[in-house]
Amino acid sequence: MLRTIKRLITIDQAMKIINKKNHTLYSKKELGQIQLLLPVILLVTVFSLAPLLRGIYLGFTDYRLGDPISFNGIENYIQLFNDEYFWKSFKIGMVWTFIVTALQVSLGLGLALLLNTKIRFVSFYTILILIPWATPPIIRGILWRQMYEPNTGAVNILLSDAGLISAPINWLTSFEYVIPAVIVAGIWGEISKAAIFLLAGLQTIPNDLYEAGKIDGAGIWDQFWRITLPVLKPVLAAIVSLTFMWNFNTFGIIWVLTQGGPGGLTRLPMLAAYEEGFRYGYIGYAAAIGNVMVIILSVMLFMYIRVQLRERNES
Amino acid sequence: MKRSTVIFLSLFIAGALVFWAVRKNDVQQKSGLRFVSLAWQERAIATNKSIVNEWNAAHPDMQVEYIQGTWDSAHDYLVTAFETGDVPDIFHYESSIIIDYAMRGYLTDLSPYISVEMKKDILDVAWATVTRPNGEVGGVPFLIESLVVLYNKSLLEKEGIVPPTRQHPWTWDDLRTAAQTLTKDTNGDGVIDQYGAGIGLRNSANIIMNTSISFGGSFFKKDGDHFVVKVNDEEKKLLQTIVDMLYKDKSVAPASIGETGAGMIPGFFSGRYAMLVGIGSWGRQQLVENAPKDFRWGVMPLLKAQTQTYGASTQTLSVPKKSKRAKEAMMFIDFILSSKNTARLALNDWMIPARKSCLSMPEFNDTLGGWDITCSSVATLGVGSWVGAPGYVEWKSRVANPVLQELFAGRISVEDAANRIEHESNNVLSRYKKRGEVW
Repeated sequence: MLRTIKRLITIDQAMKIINKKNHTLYSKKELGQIQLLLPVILLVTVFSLAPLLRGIYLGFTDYRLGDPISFNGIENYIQLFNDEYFWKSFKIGMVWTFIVTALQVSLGLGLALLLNTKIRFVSFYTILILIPWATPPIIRGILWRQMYEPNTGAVNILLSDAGLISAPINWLTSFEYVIPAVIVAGIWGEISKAAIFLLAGLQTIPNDLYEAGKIDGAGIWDQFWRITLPVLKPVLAAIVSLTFMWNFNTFGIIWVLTQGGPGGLTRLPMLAAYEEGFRYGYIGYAAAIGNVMVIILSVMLFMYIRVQLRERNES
Repeated sequence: MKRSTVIFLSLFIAGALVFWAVRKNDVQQKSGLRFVSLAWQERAIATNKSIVNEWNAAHPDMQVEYIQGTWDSAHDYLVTAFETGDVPDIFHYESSIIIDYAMRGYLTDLSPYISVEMKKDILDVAWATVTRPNGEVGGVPFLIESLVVLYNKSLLEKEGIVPPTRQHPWTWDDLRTAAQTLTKDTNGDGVIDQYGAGIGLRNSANIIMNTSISFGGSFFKKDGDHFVVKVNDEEKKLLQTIVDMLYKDKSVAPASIGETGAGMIPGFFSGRYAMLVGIGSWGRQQLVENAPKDFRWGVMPLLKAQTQTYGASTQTLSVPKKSKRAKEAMMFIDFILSSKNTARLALNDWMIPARKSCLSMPEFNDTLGGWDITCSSVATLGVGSWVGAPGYVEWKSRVANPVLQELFAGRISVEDAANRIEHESNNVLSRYKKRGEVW
């Protein structure tokens, strides 16, 4: 998603260069620039722009796999508005996104603060916490699926050895435990991302501020609330927005863990769109879900950029 | 470099790439027939491969390439293949899904290619699972999926329970009574450690649908050209029986709720439940290969409700419409599904062969491995009213499985489940009605 937007921006810049003096012939320099951009424009058009535009267009058709495509205006969106499955999964998606984002960022902040202290082997720990993030979501899902396996999984064995449970729990198919179980699996891999971003932010805070604070009698909490957090705010805003979008679009790990079950309890919006498109073949409708999600995410992106700009203007 | 040179070069590279991709595809298409098999049990895979090798030895000019598929990803793979045209020439799948593919125009109608011998020898009930009302045949059925009840001989003997015979099958009440007797706290610590039965209920729609016929139920009722889903007393009775065994009698292991049939097998080995109800007959292979040495087991005849009629579904071989060599593909199907080879495939996958000539072979009437009892269920196989109903595949995964999961997890009552199934079915089926898809 983000990459697509970035590419779009590149195209936008390219178009500006092309259109700058469109009432006269291009100058020699500009022609040279166009030539240099041509390979990129070609690739972006073929592999990003065209599929994107086609995806948007399909959202306004009744295309079902195997059938011819015909335009049906906003019919998909009317259907979507009344689709209890989609709204149920949207609600689940929101709960998931808020909880997972909050936990990822707050735990990531904790980790970043720890790594920012003068403990030994910091670089070793940093590499260690990067490993889960470097693991693809599908692999993370498979790992956690094995951990949650009712009879042979590590989670049940640990809990029953500790005497906490008497019978094995089937974490991924139980209505009571599945949401906490997937949330734990979901935050595990992504804490590192938040931690690394925030650590970079923390390292830019000059030590003078803390020393000045100490002279004024600020304790550790005061330092955190009045120095660390305010200075870190732009980085926090960025990481929260990015993580939010990321989590809203989660697919891989949940697909591997539960396929949206039990009873559709973990069917996030992306899974709903996938099922519509590939399981049931309603490509047009799935594309419409995609379009709606892009709009929702664009609103979030807009808010994120606004916060960013405001912060920059203030400082 | 001149501008025109740059443009020309980029276009040339792009063109060359496209040409190369198309060409590569073409070469692949010419080199041989591609056969995607979903066999997953070790011996079934080996049998498939050796039949392919035998074909290749006899047909040097028409080689078949064996491609291993998996049940989990088969649907995604096939739909992508149908849409792009990069299709296998022969693929293995199951009746309820291929009839949906046939409806969507993805498959070659095999009816003109099927030999008289094959047509006659394969059971009518098996053909019924793959034939559309206009006579179009979506695939050749070769294995029949049937549900069996497996039991632990030692545990039944210990309680003095005599297992049923073909002449005197158990009713569901008999099963319930036996399950209650077999549910025990063997070590006296106040916790039940041996349950009467285990049933893999994770995605139970298949089991429930096929079993409901014996209760006189059908879920899908004809309403003119279309279908409506009704959950009447007959359908409710089956659901209520399982719920009662889970929560009233507490004779079905709670592990059943989120587990698949295959996932229930290890617990069956370790004696956590004395009977494994509603598992596919292929489960017997797992017993033969993986059970502890002293583990003694048997197969029960189908449980009797009103009748002993269960819905049939079959495993099939089909040819995509976009395959350019339907005739050659059918020649291969004739070979791999000959009477002799069907018997090999069935024996090694521990499933019922769809050919009458196979069913009369001694291997399939042996008491060893429960073949006689398993294959005897063929006599009472029926065809569900939902077979080929537009939207059935979507209905099963969107409505039936999730609602049944909630029901068996004890979150809703049978009455709630019935209402939800009926209500949500309307949403799904109306999509197909709107598109004018009729059976």
